[in-house]
Amino acid sequence: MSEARFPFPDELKLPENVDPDTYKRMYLYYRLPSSILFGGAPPKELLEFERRQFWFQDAMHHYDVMYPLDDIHPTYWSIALSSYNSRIFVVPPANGIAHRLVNGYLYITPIPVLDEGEIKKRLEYFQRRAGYYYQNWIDIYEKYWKPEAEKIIREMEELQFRDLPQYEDEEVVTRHMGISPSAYGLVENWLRLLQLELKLWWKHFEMLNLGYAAYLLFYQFLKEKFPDIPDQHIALMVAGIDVILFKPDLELRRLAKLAVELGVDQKIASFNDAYEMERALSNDGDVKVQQWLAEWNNAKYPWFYYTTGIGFYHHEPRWIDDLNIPFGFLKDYMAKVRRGEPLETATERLRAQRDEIANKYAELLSPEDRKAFYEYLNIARRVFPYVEEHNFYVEHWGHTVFYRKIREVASILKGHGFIEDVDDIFYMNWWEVYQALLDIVASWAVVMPEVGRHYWPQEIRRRKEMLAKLKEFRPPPALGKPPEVITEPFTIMLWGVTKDRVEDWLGTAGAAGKVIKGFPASPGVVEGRATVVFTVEELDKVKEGDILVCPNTSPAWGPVFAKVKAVVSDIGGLMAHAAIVAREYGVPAVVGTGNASRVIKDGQRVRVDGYKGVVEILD
Amino acid sequence: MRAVIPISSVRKSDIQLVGGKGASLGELITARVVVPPGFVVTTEAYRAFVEYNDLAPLISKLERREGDPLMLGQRIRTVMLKGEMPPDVARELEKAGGSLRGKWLAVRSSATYEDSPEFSFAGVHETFLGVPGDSYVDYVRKVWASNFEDRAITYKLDRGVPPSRVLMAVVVQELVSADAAGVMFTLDPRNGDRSVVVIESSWGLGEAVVSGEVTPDRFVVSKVTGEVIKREVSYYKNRAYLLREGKVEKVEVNNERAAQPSLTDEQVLRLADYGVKLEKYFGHAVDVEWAVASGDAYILQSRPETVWSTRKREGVERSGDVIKDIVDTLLTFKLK
Repeated sequence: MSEARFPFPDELKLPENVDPDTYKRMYLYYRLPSSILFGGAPPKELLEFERRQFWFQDAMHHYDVMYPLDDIHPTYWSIALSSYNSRIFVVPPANGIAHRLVNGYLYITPIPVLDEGEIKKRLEYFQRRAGYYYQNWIDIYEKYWKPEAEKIIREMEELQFRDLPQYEDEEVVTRHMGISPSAYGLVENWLRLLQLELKLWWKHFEMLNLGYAAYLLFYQFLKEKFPDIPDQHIALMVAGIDVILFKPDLELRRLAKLAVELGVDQKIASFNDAYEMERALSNDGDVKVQQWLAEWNNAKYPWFYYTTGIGFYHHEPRWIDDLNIPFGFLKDYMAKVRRGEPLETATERLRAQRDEIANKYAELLSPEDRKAFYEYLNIARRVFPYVEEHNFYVEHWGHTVFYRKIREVASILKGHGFIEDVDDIFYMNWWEVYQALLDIVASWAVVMPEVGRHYWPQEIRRRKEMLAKLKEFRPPPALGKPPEVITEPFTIMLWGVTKDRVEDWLGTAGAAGKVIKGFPASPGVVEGRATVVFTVEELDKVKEGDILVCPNTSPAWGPVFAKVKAVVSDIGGLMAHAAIVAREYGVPAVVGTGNASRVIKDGQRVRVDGYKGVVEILD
Repeated sequence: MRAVIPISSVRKSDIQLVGGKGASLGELITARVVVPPGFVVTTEAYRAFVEYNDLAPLISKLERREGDPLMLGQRIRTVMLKGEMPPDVARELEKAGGSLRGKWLAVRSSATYEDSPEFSFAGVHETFLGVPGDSYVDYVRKVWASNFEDRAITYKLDRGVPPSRVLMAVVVQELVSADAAGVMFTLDPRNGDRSVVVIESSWGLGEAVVSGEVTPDRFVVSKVTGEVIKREVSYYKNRAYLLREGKVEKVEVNNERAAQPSLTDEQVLRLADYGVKLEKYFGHAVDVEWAVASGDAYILQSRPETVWSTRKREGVERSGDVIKDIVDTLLTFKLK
C-alpha cells in the first residue's frame, strides 16, 4: 500500500456556510470529532485515537445525513454490537465499532484486538460463552429471542403519550398516588420508549455476529475447497425456505392470487388510491369483496410494518403509514397473475433446490471433507434464519412502531408550538426532546410561559438549512490512513471493506474513473441507462429497464427491483441487503463500489458485470 | 468386409478395425460428444489391399529380415502408392469420398499397436493436414505407405514389433475451419477446483491458445448449477490462425474484434456439457481441445488431466470441534 491516505477526521472541515455551534448542539457530544467538540485544540489522546483509526462511511445503513433524532439508531447499535463483542461473548479478535459524525455523515471504525496474549485469554471466554449459544441456538431463538423481541415491540406499542390535562383526576388524591401521573407518565414513557429501543438494539445483536461467524466457517471452508464457488451458491445452500423477511412480499402475492381467484381483482385495480379502495370496498355488498378485504386487513399486522428503506431513517416510507406502497405492488402482482405469469423469482426456485446443490458440492469432496462439509452446513443453516430474519423484528416491525410513537410525541410538541410540523421532531435529538417535555411539564406545573415555543422553531429552521447544505456534501468513502491489512472479520463480512476495495477507493476518488470495481453480488452482464438515487424519495424517477445506482439498497424496495435491469451500490459485502435482494430478483448487481453513486451521473450508459464485479461507464 | 466406417458409428471396442486413434474417437462418440465429421478407412481395407496386391510375402520377408529391410520397404511403398485398389474397396472409398468434395481434410494414420501403452509410435506414421477432398484416396495410400517408411521399419524392428501385425487404418476427417477454438479443463487448472469447468478460448484455430500467443478469454462454468459463473473477456486476442484453402494462415485481428467475447454463453455451456460427459465417461478430470465452427462445437481431443488429478488432496485442518473451528476462522479470516 502506498502512502496514499484519506483526510483525517480533523482535516475534513465543515463547509464554510455551516455554523459549528449549531452543528455541535445537534448531536451527542461524544459522537463529534474532537476537533469540532474542542475547537482548535483537542486533547491529544482523542486526536491521536482519531488519526490512528481507519474510518469508513457507513453508507450501507446511513446513506443520508444524520438527523439528530435518527442518530439514536447508530448511537444504540454501536453500544449493543460492541458490548456483545467486547464484554459479553468476548470475541477474540474483535472489540467494538467506534463512531464519529463528520460533516453530518456517520463514519465508523472497528477496534480490533491485536495483542496475541490478549486474544488467547479471550479465547477461553468466547468458546464457553459462544458455545452455549451455538448449542442452544434454536431454543434460544424460537423460545426466547422471538417472544422477547415481540414483547419489546408490544410494550412500545402500549406506551401512551397524551397532552396534559388542566387538573389531575380526583383519584390521584383518593388513591394517594403521590405523583402527578399525567406529567410523570409523559416524561417516563418517553424515557421508556428510549430504553425499549436500546433493548431492541441489544436483541438485534444478541445472535448476529455469532451467526455471521458460523456462516463464515462454512464460507471459508467452501472457498478453500472450491476457490471458484460463487458467494451466491454458498448463500443458496444455507438460505431458509420460509423466511419471515420475505413474508410481506409473499403476503401481497397471496392477496393478488386470492383477488384473481375470487374475481374481484378488476374492481380492486380500478382504484388509484388505497384508502379510497378501502372505503369503497367496505361499503360493497359482494361477499367475495368482503372476504378479500378481510384478508387484506388481516395481513397488515405485522406484515405491513415494513419499511421501504433500510429502517434507520424517519423519512423512509413504511407500508402501514402509506398503504399506497403495498397497494401499488399488489396491482402489479394482480396484473401478472391475470397474464398467467409466475410470481416466483428465479432465486426462490433455486432455494427449493438447496439440498440438491449442497449434495452436488459434497459429492465432489473427499469422504473426510464431506463430513466436515455437512457439519458446517448444519451449523450455518442453524444460525441463518436469525441472520435473515432479525431485520424484520427490529428494522421493520420494531422501528415502524418506534417511529409511530415518536410522531405521537411530536404531535404534543406541535400542539405546544415547539415545532411547526410533526416531522420537525427529527431535528431534535432525544435528550432535547426529553428537555422539551420537561419544559412543557414545568410550565404546566408552575403555570408560566413555555420557553420551547420561542427556542425550537428558530433552532430547527437553522438545523434544516444546515442539513440541507450538508446533504450537498458528498462524503469521502473513508477517512485516515488505510491499515496494512484489514482483518477485522465482521467489517469485511458485513461492510465488504477489504484492502483491495480501499485501494480502489483511493484510485478512483479523485479521477473520474471509467471503470469502477466492487463485489460481484449477483451474476449477469447488462448495459443500460443509469439512474442515480440517493434517497428513497427519489425512487420514483427509476424507469423500467434502468440500472439503479445508489449508495445502498434494501430488500423492502421490493418489486421496484422487478423494474431495474441491474443494481450498483457503494457499500456492501457478502451479507449486504443489496446483494441478497438483487439475487432474489435475479438482476445483476455490483456492490461495495465505494463511490459509484458519486462517479456515475444520471442518464449515463453503463455496463454492469455481475460476474466480475465491474461497472464500466460507456459514455 | 467393411472398408469404411463413419466416425459416428465407431466404438472403442473397434480398435482392431479402426486402430488406436480411431478407437479414441470412438470413445468420444461413446461419451456422446460431437467430433468433426468423417470416417475411418479400416484395417480391413488395408488388409484387402495387401492381399489383392500380394504384398504379404514381401512383408513377411521384411519381418524375417531377409535382405535389406529398407529396400524391401521401398518396394512395398511403391506398390501401396501405385498398385491397384481392390474393386470393392475402391467402390466404398469412392462412395465415402462423395461427401468430401470441395472440403479440406485431415488424413491421419491410426495403426493397431499405435497409442498402446508400450509403444507410442509418436511421429512414426504420417498425418496430412489440408488434403483436398477430391484426392483424399492418394493420401490414404500415402498413410498406408508410411507404415513402411524407413523410420517406421526401423522403429518396429528395433522394438520387436512385427510389421505384419501393425495394420494401418486411416482417419479421414474434415478440417474444422474454426471461428474460435481453445482448451477446456474439467477442473480449474489454477487452483484445482473440481466444481467447475474452465474454458479458454480465442479466435480462429486452437494454435493461438495452445502456443500461448494470445491471452485467451476465460469462461468458468459451475458443474453444480450449470451456469456460467465467470467470464473474463481478454482484450488481447489480436492474433489468429485461420484455415484458408487448406492451409493455416496467421492473421492480425483488429482491436474491436479482439476485445469481443469469442464464445456465446450457449457455446460455453455446450462445451462444458461435453467436458462433463467426458469426465464422467473416463472417470477422471480431462484436458480437452475443442473448436467451434459455424456455430457448432466439436471436440478434437481429450486427454487425462494430470497435474491436480495426481495430487493428494489435503484435508482442511480441523479440531473436531465446530466451535473451535469457528474461532479459528475468526482469527484467520481474510477476504480477497
